[in-house]
Amino acid sequence: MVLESEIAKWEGFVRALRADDKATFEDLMNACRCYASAAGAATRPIAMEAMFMSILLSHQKALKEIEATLEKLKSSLQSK
Amino acid sequence: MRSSNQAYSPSNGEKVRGWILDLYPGKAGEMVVWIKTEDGRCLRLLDRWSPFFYVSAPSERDLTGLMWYLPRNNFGVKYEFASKFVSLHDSERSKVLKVTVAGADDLRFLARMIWRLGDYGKYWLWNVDIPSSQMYLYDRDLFPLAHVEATVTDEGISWSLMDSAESVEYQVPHLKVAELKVDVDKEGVIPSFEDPIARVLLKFNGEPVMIDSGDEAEKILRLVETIRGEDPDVILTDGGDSFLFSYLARRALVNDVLSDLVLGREKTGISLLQREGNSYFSYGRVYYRAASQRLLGRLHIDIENSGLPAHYGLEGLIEVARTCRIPLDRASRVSIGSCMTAIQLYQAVKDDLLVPWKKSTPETFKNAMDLLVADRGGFYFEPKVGIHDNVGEIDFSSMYPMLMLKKNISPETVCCECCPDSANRVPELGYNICERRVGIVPKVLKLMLQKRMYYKEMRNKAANPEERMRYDQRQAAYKIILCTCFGYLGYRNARFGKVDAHIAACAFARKMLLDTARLAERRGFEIVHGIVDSLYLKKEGATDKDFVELCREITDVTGLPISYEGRYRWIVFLPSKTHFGVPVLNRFYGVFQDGKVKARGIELRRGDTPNVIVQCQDEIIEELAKARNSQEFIQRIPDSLSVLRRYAKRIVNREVGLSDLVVSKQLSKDPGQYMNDVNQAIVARQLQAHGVDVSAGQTVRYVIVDADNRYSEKRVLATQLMDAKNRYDVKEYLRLLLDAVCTTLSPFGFTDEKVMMYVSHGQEQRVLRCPRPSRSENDPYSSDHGGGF
Repeated sequence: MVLESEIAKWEGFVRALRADDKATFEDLMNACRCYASAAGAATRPIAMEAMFMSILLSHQKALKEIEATLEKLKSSLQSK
Repeated sequence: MRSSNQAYSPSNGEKVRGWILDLYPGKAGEMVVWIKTEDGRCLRLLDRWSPFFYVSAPSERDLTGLMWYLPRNNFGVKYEFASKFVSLHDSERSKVLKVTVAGADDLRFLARMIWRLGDYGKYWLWNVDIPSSQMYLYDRDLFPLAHVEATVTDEGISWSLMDSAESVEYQVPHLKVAELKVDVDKEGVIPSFEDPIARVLLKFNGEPVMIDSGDEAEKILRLVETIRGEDPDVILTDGGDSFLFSYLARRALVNDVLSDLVLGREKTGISLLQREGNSYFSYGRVYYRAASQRLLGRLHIDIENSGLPAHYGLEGLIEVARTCRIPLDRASRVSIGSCMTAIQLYQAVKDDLLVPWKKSTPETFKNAMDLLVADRGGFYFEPKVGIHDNVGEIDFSSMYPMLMLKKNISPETVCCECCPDSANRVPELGYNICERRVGIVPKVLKLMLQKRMYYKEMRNKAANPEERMRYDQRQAAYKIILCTCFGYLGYRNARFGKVDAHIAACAFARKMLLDTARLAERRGFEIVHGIVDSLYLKKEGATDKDFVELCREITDVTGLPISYEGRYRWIVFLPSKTHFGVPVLNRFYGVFQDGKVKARGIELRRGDTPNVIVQCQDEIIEELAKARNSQEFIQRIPDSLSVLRRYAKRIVNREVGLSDLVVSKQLSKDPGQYMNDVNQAIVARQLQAHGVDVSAGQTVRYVIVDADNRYSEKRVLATQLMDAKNRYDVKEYLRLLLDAVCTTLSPFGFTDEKVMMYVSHGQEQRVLRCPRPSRSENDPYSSDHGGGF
C-alpha cells in the first residue's frame, strides 16, 4: 500500500518519459514490488530509501547472474 | 414416542436427570430451562433467578449515596455490596454495588439511569450487556447440553452437574431433528406473503411427511399437529428467520388460524411482526443476519442464517455451545467473535472479574516511529514465480493462539506495571510481559487448543466414517474460533482486547517465521515461499524424512508444534495479473506425491466463479496433475488445452445449463448506496423491484445475459427472474473462461493471444477475438501484489 502510493507520486516523472523508458521504469518498480516484504521489515520512515535498496539488490543480483553466465561462457570458450 | 411434554411438570422435591436443551427468561424473576431427560422426554423446569449488574464509583460513599436516589419497589430491585476485581490489572478486590432486577428490560433501563446520574463518567457499570440466559449459565456454572440432575425445590432448581465443559468424550442425547420446507404457490416470479401455501414438506430424521391436501388453513393446522405429535427437538429450515416463519404467520392470519400456529413447546405463537435483520462488517466483508425466529423449547437452526454451523455441523455447534457456554439457539447464529467473547466472559465471572459495559482501554502512547515499527502484521517471503519440483510444505499448528498461550499474551499482561524488568519481552519492540500471573486470554485458549489437538488426533485414528466426521466437525469448530482469537485482541469492541497485545502477537509471529527460515536455510533448504505461519521449501533430492527431521528441529528450538503437510511433485506459483513477473501471495496450485491437488487464490477457489469455469479449470489442473515433474508438466500443456477447447465449444453451442453459469456475489453495500452499475447492484435493484428485501451482506445470484448492453439493467438477470426464454452471453462467458486458463498458465508465457491460438478453429475464434474488458473496481486482481509496504 505504501509502495503503491509512493509509486503513484512519480506519475509526473513517468508521464514525461519516452515509451521505452516507461517500460524500464516499470521494471524498476516491479523490482521494488518483488522485495515489498523485506522493505516493510526495514521500517524506514522514508519509503524511497527501502525502494532504492530493493532496486540496488535486484541490480546486484542481476550483475551476479550475468557474471556467472560470463564465467561459464569464458570457461567453455577456453576449453575449446 | 411420548408427546405433549408440557403436560408433565415435576413436583416439589422430584429429581430429574437429563441434558439442558434450551433456556430463556420467563416471567419476571424466572428462568425457563428445558431438559431432555435420560428416558427421552422433554421437561420444562422453572428456576428462580433474576439478572443483575454491578456499579463501581470512586468511593463507597458515592455508592451509598447512589442507592438513595435509585428506585426500590417498582423494579423489584435489590441492592447489596460485593467484592470484585474491577479491572483486569487489579490485584485487589474493590467494593462494588450489586444491583439485582426483575427482568432484562429493567436492567437496561436502570443501567442507563445510573449512567446518566453520574454524568456519564462518575459511576462505572459492569456486566450490563451479557444476555440473561448466558449469565444464568455462568452464574449456575452450567452449560448447554450439560448432563445434569435437577432437583425441584420451593426456591427453584438445585442443580447437580454430572458433566464438565472441559470433557472431550461426552454423551449427547439423541435429538429428534425435523427439516421443514414450505412450497409457495407463487403467482409472480418471487414468492410473496400474498401467495398461498402449495405444500408443506417435513422430514423427521430423514422420514418425509408431505402436507398437500385440504385448504390452506387445514395445511397450517396439520403442520402444527404433526410438529406437536412428532415433537422434534431441532427444527432445521432454510430461510426460517428471513421468510418462512413470517410467511406462515401471515398465511395463518389470512386464514384466521394465527392463534393456533404454535410450533415451539411453549404455547406462544409465531409473531406477525417481522423484526429487521442487521448487516455487519467482519474481516473485510459485509454480512447480513436476519432477526432470529425462536421456537421456545425447540432449537430452530436456520441454515441460511447460520454462517458457522455450515462449516462444522451439529456436532461442532454442540461443542461450541458447551465450551463457550452459549445457548444452542444463539450459538447457531452469532459471529465467531461472540463465541470467543462468551468463553472469556465466563472466565471473567469465574475469576470474580467484572466485565465493562463501556470499554475504554486506551492504547499505550506511541510516536510515529514507534508506530512504524509496531503496527505491522505477519511476515512473508514473496513466492518465486513459476514451477518448482519437490517442494515441501511445513505449517505451524495454530501459530497465533499457541504464541499467545506460550508467551502469555493478554491485554493485562503486555506492558503490565508489575513486571517492568520481565525477561519475557516482545521482539523488536521490547515491551515487557507479566511473569506473575497468567492472562485471561491464554487461560481461555489453553482449553480450546488442548481440545482441538485431541480431536485432530482422534479424527486421524477414527475407526469409522461417523466417528471421523464427529471429531472432524468438533476440531473444525475450534479452528474457526482460534483463527479469530488473535484478531480479536486488537478489535476495538472486544471486551478483553488491547492493541498492544495484538501488536505483540504479530511481532512474535514474525520472529518465529524468520527463525524457522534460518533453521531451514542452515539445513540447505531454499525458501520458495513463506506466509505468516507456513513455509514452502525445496532442496535437491530431499525426502519426506528430511522434512520431518527439519520439523522436529524447529519444534525443539521454537517450542511450537509445526507439521509437515507433504511434498509436492510440482507446484506453480502464479504472478500478478497487473504487474508482469511480480509474485503475489497465496496464489498457487500443485500436486502432492499422493496425487492430491492443492490450489489457492485461483478462480476455482473463489465463491463467485460460475460452475462452468470452475469445472474447466479443475479439469485442466487434473490433466496437468498427471505430470510427475516440471518437464512432464510442460509437455502436458497442449493436452490440458483440449479441455478448454471442449468447454469453449459447449459455451458457444449453448450446451451449458443455466445453473452452471450462475455468478454469486455478496453485496458490500445496500443497493441504493452503489455509485456504479456493477452487476450485483443491478441484480439487487431488479430484486427490489419485485418486492424482495435486499440488504448489504446478502448474496445475490445472477446470470450474465448481455454484458455490453448500453442499458445496465439488461446486462445481467437475477436467477429468481430467469425463465427458459433467457439466453446467456456467450462472449462474456468465453472471456471468463479464457481468463481462468490464462491465470493457470501465465508463468509459461501463455497470454490471451497464445491460448486463443490453441483454440483457434471455427466459431470459437470469431467470438474469442472480441476486445477484452477494462479492469473495473470489481476486479479482484487489480491491486494484487500484496504486502503491507
